[in-house]
Amino acid sequence: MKQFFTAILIISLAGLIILGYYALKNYNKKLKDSKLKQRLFIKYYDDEKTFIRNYFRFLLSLLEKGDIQWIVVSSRRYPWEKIEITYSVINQHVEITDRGDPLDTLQQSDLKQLGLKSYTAKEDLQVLSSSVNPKIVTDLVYYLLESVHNQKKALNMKVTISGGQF
Amino acid sequence: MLKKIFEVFFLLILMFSIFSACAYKDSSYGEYEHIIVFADSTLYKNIRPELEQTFDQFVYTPITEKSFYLELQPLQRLDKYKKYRNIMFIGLLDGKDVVSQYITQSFDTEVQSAIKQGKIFDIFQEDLFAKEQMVIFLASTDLITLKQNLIAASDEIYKKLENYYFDRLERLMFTKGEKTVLEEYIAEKYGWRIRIQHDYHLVKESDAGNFVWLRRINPDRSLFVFRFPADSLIMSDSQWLVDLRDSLTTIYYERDSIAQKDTYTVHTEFHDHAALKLVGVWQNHKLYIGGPFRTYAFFDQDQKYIYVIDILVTAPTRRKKPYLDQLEVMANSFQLLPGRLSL
Repeated sequence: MKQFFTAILIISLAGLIILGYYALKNYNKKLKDSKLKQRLFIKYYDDEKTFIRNYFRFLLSLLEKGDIQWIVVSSRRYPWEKIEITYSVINQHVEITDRGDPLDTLQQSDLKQLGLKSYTAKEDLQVLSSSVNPKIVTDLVYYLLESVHNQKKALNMKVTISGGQF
Repeated sequence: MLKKIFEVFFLLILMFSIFSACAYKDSSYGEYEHIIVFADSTLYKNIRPELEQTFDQFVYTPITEKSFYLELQPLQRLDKYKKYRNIMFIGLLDGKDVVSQYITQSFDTEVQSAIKQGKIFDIFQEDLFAKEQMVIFLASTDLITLKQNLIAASDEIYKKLENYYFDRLERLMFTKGEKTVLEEYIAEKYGWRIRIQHDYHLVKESDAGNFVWLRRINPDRSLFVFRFPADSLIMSDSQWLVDLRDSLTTIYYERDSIAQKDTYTVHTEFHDHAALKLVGVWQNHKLYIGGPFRTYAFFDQDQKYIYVIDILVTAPTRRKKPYLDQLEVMANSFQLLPGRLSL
């Protein structure tokens, strides 16, 4: 009888060890996967940012020439944000219009460091102006999406154009 | 001494609090076109056709939209709806239902006797419960008189409410922002001025100085002003205006054209100038889109120019009238600047 219980104990211990081994293996695999995913996410994010910047370079030149009238950047993640980019012929600068709470002084100084020329806000309407520079425009748009709206909305952005004969 | 100063200071604070509490009113809210109606349900059922004839004037966009939407509510819900933008009370003087009793209590004896004598039927009261609010009282002595009064004063009541609607819309449209720099740029360059709401952009101007296109997206709204030299305005026939608009939209709006079956002409006035107004629907066969438009054309004797102001809306799946009305406000803000005719 004693041998019988010993055998059961040994078999249970062996089972537990096998289960523990596979659980550990699975955990390790998941950890590796998540690290890989994180690396891939950062890579995709950087790649997309580079792509958007290059795309903006092309679109801003069309905007400046008057071939298109609007660039609309929208996030696909809820709540959807829509940022409108236009060209002002009067001051020859790019106008970025966004909706949301007014920016605080720290955010404004951050944006100024990124190349913001001027900023006006009334109620939820905010207008930022910048020179016709794709890097500055990209940085300002990403800052608005990432930091002001306080969400990682900038991945998988939708960029559409409107108007003109293009 | 110190006690006296404290007393005066306390009194001042108390007075300030009382005055500010008395003067303060919340802003009204809700849809601009909705009218909350407080009336006895039986009475409302009896006068519903006359009420709808007065307020529900249809606008073809090409979906049929109403100018105002009536929503009947029981008086018990007055607290919930009292800050809505448009409220209407309908009742009979000395009537037994709660709304009639409320109306009777609201009027003093002079007003009551004037209603009994048939001198007063409709009373418009601005900002009664909230700011930017219109409250209308319709009261008569009996149901037949109420119906008769409603039919007789229908146009006048509608016009009053519509005027207030546009005045309020203009006040509220520009609270968030107005593109004054762009307005000044246009005034300097073209010799006319128009109020431009935030988010509108100057997207096209012709080198010849005769065409200016302002546009806003989400949903798409456009306003253009075109002028050309002329000796007079042909009022008897509007086909030239249809053709002119079609030719301009072919160039600038990717071949939009007027759906002539759904368009009609109105002889109107535009800031003391006799004017033609096209009211109708535009379409684009290439892009499979369409929507409502309005075109004004008038002749300026001093400059010898015909001015054409056009507004249009593209808003699939949305109600178009609110946007069209905003554009009407902008179009009606157009003014010529004498002595500043440029280009």
